[in-house]
Amino acid sequence: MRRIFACLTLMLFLGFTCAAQKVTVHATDEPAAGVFRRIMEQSGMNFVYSSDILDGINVSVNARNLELKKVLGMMFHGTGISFRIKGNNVMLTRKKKSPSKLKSRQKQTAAAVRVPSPDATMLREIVVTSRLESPAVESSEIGARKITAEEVRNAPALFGEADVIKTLHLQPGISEGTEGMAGMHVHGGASDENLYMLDNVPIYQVNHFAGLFSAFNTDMIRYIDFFHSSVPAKYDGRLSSFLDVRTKNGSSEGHHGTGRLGLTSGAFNISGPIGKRTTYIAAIRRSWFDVLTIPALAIINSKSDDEDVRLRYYFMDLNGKVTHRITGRATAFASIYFGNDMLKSGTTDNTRSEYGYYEDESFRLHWGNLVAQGGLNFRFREELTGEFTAAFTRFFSGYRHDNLYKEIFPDISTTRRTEEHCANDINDWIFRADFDWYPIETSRVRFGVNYVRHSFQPGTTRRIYDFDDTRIESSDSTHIYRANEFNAYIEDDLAISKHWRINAGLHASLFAIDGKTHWGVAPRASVSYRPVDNWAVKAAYSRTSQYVHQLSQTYLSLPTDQWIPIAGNLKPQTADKIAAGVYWQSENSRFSASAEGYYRWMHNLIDYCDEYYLRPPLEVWNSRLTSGRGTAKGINIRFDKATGRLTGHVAYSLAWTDRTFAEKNCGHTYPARFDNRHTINVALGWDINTRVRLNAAWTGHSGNRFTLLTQSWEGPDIESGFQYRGEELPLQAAVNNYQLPFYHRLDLSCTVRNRRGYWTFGLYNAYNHTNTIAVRRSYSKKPPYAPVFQRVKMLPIIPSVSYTWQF
Amino acid sequence: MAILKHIIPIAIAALTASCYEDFTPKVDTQPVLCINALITAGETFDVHVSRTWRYDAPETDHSVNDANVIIYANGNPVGRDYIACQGDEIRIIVTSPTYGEAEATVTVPRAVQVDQPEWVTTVTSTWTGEDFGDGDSEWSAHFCHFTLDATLNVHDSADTPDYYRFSFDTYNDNDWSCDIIQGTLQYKQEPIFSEHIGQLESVMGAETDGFSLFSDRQFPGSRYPLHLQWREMSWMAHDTSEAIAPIGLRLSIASVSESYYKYALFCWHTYNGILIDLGDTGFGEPLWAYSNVSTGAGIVAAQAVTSCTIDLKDFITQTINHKSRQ
Repeated sequence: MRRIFACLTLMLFLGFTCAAQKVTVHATDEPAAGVFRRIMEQSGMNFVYSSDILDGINVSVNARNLELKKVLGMMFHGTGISFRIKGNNVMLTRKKKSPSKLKSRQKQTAAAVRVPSPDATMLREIVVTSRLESPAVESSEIGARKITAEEVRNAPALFGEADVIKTLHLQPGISEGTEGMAGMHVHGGASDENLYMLDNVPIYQVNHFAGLFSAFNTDMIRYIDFFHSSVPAKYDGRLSSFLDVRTKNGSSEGHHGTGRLGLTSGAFNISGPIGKRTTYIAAIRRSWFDVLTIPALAIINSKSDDEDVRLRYYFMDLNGKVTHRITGRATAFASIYFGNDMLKSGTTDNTRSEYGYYEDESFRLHWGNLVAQGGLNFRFREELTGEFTAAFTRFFSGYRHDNLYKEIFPDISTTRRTEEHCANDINDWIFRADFDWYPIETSRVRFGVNYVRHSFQPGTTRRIYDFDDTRIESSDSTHIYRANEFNAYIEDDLAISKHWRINAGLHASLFAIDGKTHWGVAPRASVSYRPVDNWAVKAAYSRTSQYVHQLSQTYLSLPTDQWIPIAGNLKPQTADKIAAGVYWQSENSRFSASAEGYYRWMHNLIDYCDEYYLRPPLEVWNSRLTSGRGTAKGINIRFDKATGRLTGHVAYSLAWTDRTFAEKNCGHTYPARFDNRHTINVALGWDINTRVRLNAAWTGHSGNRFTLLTQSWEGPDIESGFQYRGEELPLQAAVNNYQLPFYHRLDLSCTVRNRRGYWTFGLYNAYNHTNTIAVRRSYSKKPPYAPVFQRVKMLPIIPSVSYTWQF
Repeated sequence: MAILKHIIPIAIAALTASCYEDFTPKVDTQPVLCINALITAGETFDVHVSRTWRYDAPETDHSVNDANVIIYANGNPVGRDYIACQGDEIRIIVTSPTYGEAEATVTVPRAVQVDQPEWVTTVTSTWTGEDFGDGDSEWSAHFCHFTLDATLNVHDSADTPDYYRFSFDTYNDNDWSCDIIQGTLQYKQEPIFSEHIGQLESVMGAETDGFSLFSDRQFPGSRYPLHLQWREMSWMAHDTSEAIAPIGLRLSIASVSESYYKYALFCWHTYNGILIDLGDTGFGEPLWAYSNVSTGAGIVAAQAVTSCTIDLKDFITQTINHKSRQ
């Protein structure tokens, strides 16, 4: 560990020259919003402006490595727009022409506050809309979204805990999986086919508390890049989607922060400058569950004469980031994230008699991530920048189970002590160089290489048995899988003409493990045609490959889930996807609509054979896996309203997805578990006034598929030596043979601001429709207690409240 | 670890808020044949034929009256008096005009070699009771509580994956004058009885609970010493001049077929695992019972049993003599 920090510190203080807020932008009569995005990517600045301020405004600028202030001056010269840089925000207003006009403008925009920055009280009367996402018609991307932290915070959430992944569930083509859990199934993919990154560094465990909460602290989020159809060549390693959570930089103008108290957790963050060149930001989030259980356990223990029960659970996230500007051409940064879940429990006999039995049992389960990285943004020439990063990402989980048993009698006393340890670890060292090059005004080339040293230790179990003077030790250790991964990519985003734009790239990868080398070449291409300014037609092709997969016995996100690399006879998973769409955007960018179609075919998918009991060791697990193929196809239709008092989107998806495995379901093709034929998502936000905002999200989709075991057979009793006593056992059925009822749910939240911060009130499942998540075999509650099938319904209405204090 | 074992069910119960709703799913079902048989080397065996039924159907008679059973041993048809031998491949085919056809194949495993067990007893208490009987023939008796520690070496063959089942019972050649109570075997003491417990089950506090099957994956082709400890064992011997006849424990190691092992594993999951609970509540894949029959219903298993004994006659005699000298 010490080496990691030493390495990062060294990286941080290497003697590179550095640059402040200097950017390179070339644009000729382009919509301002598109230019903002490029500036934002280089400088990290947010643009904050009124919804109608850019109506019909195109800008031209030709700047090479100029200060942001000068570039903005060039852009807005003669447009009637003035700007002000404050912290990480560039705020745009119309230039004051006359008092009467200003008054009118203020009145018109006062109710359009969408971004509560730390300066929200000051800005309340002016602005504000932040459109970080690429206008749908301007780029050649399909299925790409840039989501702001504000969108995440505004989305109604379970227990009021804003959640990146659950926000994405409102996007078309994305299924949440099991209700309440932070699963994500993109275009029919599995939950382990999504690459989650924190500032471009992969993170393996993205959930707390079995998936109820996301590991991403929204206080640290600047924006989120999400790709699933046309994937930039930079990304590979998962089949379905790529989600890169970009964290904030510290404020350069004073110390600011927020503190939040919620029903289930609390959070605090602070950021500010350290001297003139350095900024910092730090955040912590911690749950309250262990505090909440104290009185309950006290009551239980006070009523129990036999034993005391201990139970403690909490999760915690720690983030820190330091950005340092050394000289004019480079910026250095270092960041760290530590997320941890801890469950401790135990029982102790509280009998106090001189003779008898005594037992003490304790259990400790922990899991989490550590991500540490350091890097440099360096400008070689005006048109070429590079980012060099060294990172370490670690996933860990483990448990320890201790049992002490004593028998104390006059003639004899015995002591039995057992210990059981288990550890799962993944350690990745990542070294990466990424470059961004503008060879000509209309072309942007991105290229880079990276090397990853993987170390997987999927399960080491050790048991120690002490019986008086006898000790027996047993270990069940799978060997450490070490793998070397190399990646190289290049892509060019080229504006061929005013009407045509093309993005073409290639990602090549090598994955060496156990003396075998797997390789893959993943071409990416997308093309856009704009017959008129506010219409675009796009098409894209992408290939993705995946060298690691997750073994899980449940749909929960548990620390016992194992990430393991491709090994044995298994081959890397690959997916090919073609997508096409039509896009429209109103002239003032207030409205937009899109219709996208896709077809995806997947190879070498990995799943359990029909006999899927996971038992150690790993070598045996591999033998229980089977390889197959799958397809997914569908259409996503979406309508957005981006500005005004009422904003939001309506989306509809029509989808099919299936799987075929030779050793599963007798080789017959079957529907995937989340083969939801119809999905409707509605997400709306309404600024009632400058202080109150109401958010609503309604989702409805065809029910998930479920393997319903409809028949029974009579089996022998093992204990009595194969005697037949009518053991009733479930008969194997066709996989996912039953469709659960239509799922629907409405979530509401309301944000009420005051001078110091804001209250957030939430209502999950507002009309209390408990949805069916499974069907179980049970018995009727009344005589004759006959066998019956029962729908299992989950998650009724759940209110929440939290207060966020801003300073 | 009772509390951990109930964490998930409690959490699920809280989340589901007792929302269970009876209903009748509209799914067509077609009954199929079910075959059950346990083939033991050196013995004849029975084949039990029945049929499947819809889980929520009220019917209780699952017999099949028109079944025709054919048994092949190493490819040759055999009759009811066939005695299975180690290494035989046995195929059972059942046909029924009503329910179709089912078949299963199993190979009778070879018996494993075990050494004579090494064992030691520890007396925890003894006492003598007097004036037993009905008045006409009163007598006294010696009682003893003790623990028994034994090591049983199992010699695995290297050629194939093997599965074993350990079991024990008592034997007693005495008449009423001496008896033994076998006590409790400490399954927790032998790590290999826990090897089937996965991490998730461990986390949930699952225990072996009498599951005594294991595989050779930790000792392929080599010797493995089973550590066995019985507690709360006791014997009772009448105070007579007659010599004590052989009495003790009979230990058996059965080489069992893979189908036997996997079926036993499912049964363990049913009563001790967490996966079935998760499947029932939508948080995991529903688990169906393991079967090696073509229809998915039934289990055709085979075994070859090796036995040895721990004779406690001398131990009892010495304890009585020692007590008498006191």
